[in-house]
Amino acid sequence: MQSRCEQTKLLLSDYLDQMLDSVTMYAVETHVKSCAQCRTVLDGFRNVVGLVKDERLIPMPAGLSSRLYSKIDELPKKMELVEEVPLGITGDTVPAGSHMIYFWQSNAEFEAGVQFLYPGLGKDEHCIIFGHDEALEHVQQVMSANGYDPARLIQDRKLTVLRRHAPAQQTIAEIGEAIERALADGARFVRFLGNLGIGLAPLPAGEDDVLELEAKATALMASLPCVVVCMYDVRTVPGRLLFKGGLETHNLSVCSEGVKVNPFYASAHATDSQRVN
Amino acid sequence: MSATAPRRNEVNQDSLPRVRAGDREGFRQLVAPHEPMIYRAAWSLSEGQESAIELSQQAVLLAWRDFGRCNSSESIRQRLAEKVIAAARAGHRKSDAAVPSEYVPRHFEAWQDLPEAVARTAEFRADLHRALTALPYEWREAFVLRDMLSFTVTECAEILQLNVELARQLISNARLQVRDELATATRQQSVGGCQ
Repeated sequence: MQSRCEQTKLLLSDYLDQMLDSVTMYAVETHVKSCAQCRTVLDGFRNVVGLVKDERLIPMPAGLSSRLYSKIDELPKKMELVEEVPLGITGDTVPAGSHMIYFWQSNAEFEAGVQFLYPGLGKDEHCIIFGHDEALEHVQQVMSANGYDPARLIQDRKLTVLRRHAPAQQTIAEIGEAIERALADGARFVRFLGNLGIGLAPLPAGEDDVLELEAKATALMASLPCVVVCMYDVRTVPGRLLFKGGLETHNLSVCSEGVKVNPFYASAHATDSQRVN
Repeated sequence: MSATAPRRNEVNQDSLPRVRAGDREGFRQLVAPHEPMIYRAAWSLSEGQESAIELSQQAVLLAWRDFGRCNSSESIRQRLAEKVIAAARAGHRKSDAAVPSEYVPRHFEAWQDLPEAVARTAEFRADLHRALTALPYEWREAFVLRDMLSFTVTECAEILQLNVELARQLISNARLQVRDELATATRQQSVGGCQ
């Protein structure tokens, strides 16, 4: 059983922010009036919070205003907003923000899919590979066989490996963080290679969670300097996921003949700019 | 207190396409009112002035690169704060130490209010920075957003991608610890732990 002071102590911050209901506000107020210990905590809060919000406390160094944009000024004009990048799998270029589906069933098709990573890998782009453990290992084996050193790329912060281990909400946050980190590290563009297949571990939160993840990924990537290819293993992915996830949540599909606008993509927000010439 | 920065500076509908098309001047005009906020956030999350400047520049670069995602209804101030957090996290090494779930405050005989004038001294700045550095990083982010930048608790939760309950708890813990750290620095008379 918590003492009255312990209970009140937990509420003082919310009391200060006026985030308590009126009954609890009154209870805290009443207790604080009669308890010197809790009152000193609240007095300290009020004083400290009042002081640190003062904008004069941390003045901007002289001249910083003009230096603040120096990293943007250093960008070559043409480089600053990447509009299209080579796909790597086919000879097409694709717009930034594209979320593409690539179905594979043979090893040769898998290896072709991994080529998506190569155009900027180790240069000015950052690559993220995501999926179940077996797929991540397979992608890195293919990269190694093609002369890349995944361990070194990870160390140089040119490659991020994200394991599929959590529900969509957490996964999308982890993906967002990885992209932010890559851009903060100076990457000009991010390539994201997702892998969906049924490995040894089950899907972290079921099939509907995969659909949620795909939908959230489309929204997240829409205007980022980023292109996403989702490789679906048609040998192991259930039919419903192939259709609802593979076909309905990706605006473009990568076929052997090239990149096509996906006619099954179910988005009210698809625009002409997302289509490939 | 000084005049507060604009609370919400929604992206002007007319300037959005221009800035998206690469208009740097338009971008500067949008960011300019928030420059002090960017620096305050950066200073609070970094180790010193030089790294704060670097972090501010990095955050502005991130905001520029990501500007395409900004829509007309959202606050550019919040978007810029998100970028400072993201840039700071990119450079932050996570500690292996477990983050405590709560903080037990010390008890003081009475709280001697620190006057506003004290808060603008270099000594207090240094004390505050030490207090911030002593916080677990998650608590530090929450405190900086809520109390130093005056975002609402809901906005803090959005920026930190937490639920509101957790954000409230982090803010509460951080306030308790910062209060104690500053109390020590300013020689408040401690009489032990809170009952």
